Amino acid sequence: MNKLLSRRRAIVTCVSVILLVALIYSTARDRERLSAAEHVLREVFAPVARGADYVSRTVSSCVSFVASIGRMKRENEALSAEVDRLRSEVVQLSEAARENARLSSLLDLKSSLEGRTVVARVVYRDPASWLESVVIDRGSSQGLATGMAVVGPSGVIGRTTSVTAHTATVLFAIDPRSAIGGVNSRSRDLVIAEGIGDGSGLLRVRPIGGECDIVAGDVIITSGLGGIYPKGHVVADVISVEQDKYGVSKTAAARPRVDFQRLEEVLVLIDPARGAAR
Amino acid sequence: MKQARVVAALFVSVLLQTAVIPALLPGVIVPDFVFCLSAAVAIAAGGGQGVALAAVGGLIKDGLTGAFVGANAGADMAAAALIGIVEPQLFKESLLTPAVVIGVATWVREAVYMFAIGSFGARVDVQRAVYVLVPWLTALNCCAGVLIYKWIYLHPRERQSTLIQAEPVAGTQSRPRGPGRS
Repeated sequence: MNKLLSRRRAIVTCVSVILLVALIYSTARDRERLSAAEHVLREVFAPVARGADYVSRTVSSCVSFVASIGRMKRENEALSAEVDRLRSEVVQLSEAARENARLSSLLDLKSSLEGRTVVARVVYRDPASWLESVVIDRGSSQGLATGMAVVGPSGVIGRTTSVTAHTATVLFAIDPRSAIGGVNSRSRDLVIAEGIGDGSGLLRVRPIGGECDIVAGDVIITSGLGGIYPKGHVVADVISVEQDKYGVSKTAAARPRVDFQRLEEVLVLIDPARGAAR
Repeated sequence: MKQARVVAALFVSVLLQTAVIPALLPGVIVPDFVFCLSAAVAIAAGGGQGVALAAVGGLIKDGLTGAFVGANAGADMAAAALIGIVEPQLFKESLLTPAVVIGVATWVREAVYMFAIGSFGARVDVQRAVYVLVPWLTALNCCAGVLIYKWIYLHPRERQSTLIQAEPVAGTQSRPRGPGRS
């Protein structure tokens, strides 16, 4: 019995080996077509493998997501810091661009003027705006003195009052202590533009002489007669005209083109006689 | 050893080996679960069943790769047959047995496989196989084989022995009291 069993085993082994060798031999070379059994096996297994692959990838991505939370937190913190830094840089660059534009317009004005001029930066202003004046960072060491005209690209700003070696106070044209000799650019009537000082930021325009042709929309420019402001700089635009109660003279209200609340750079005319606008 | 467990294990092994682990850990050496299963069956139930399972599992692997069909089956069968020869002398209640046997069988299997495909024209880097691939594969197969062996053989036996021990205790509790003690 044992002999029969071992003989049968030997036969099975030999047949198996021969079959396998034949199988390996027939499939060792490149084949254009798979056998029917392989075809069926692959077609049956493919969807299962696809499903398993999908589940595995989902699990893998979940696991890697959970594992990367710590790293993502660190990255998020680093990126937030980077965003803050870049935002700050953007603000600085925007500010630089605005400053560049302001200085360019000031430079244009400077080049359009004949006399010597000094560009100054506003370094101090009254926080409560009680005073219609600012302090600039140029003083007598740069050639500044009291009573010099201060202008900007939009028009007349005011004049220097107290001056130190490296600073000077600029009294705005809208201060009640200020008076500018002007001329109506349309009718050529001489006027005086005085600060009202009521916080409205307007100028009171009074004609010199009895007859005066002035209407809303007229532009008042410097006459160059006062000795401080050279001729031809815009002072203000007339916005309303009032007749006095006797009907003899007129008084106008005018709005300066300069935004006194946002002044940052100004141009001081060192030589007022030659600082007329070309 | 339940046949259903083995069939389920074969299906799961093929899936793990061909789809799941390559997707989870791309580029790493994957343990040969199908071979581990046939080796574990050969240790637990003898060479006949091990060789049969190795033939089925090996042909599935061959069919999925599409080249040298029969090489995996032949290598797995040879290793399972060798395990079948030593199986009567093995101590089967320890996890060390499948670890050692599967480790040795892995080398046999890989040698047969390399010889088979090398004989039919495939280029086999023996040095890399001997120094890198097979040692890694042996370690992985040992671990996987131990788990499979525990699942298909040791775990059912432990459950069975627990049930056998529990039955007489239950019988004692339900026994009616004798007349002398009433």
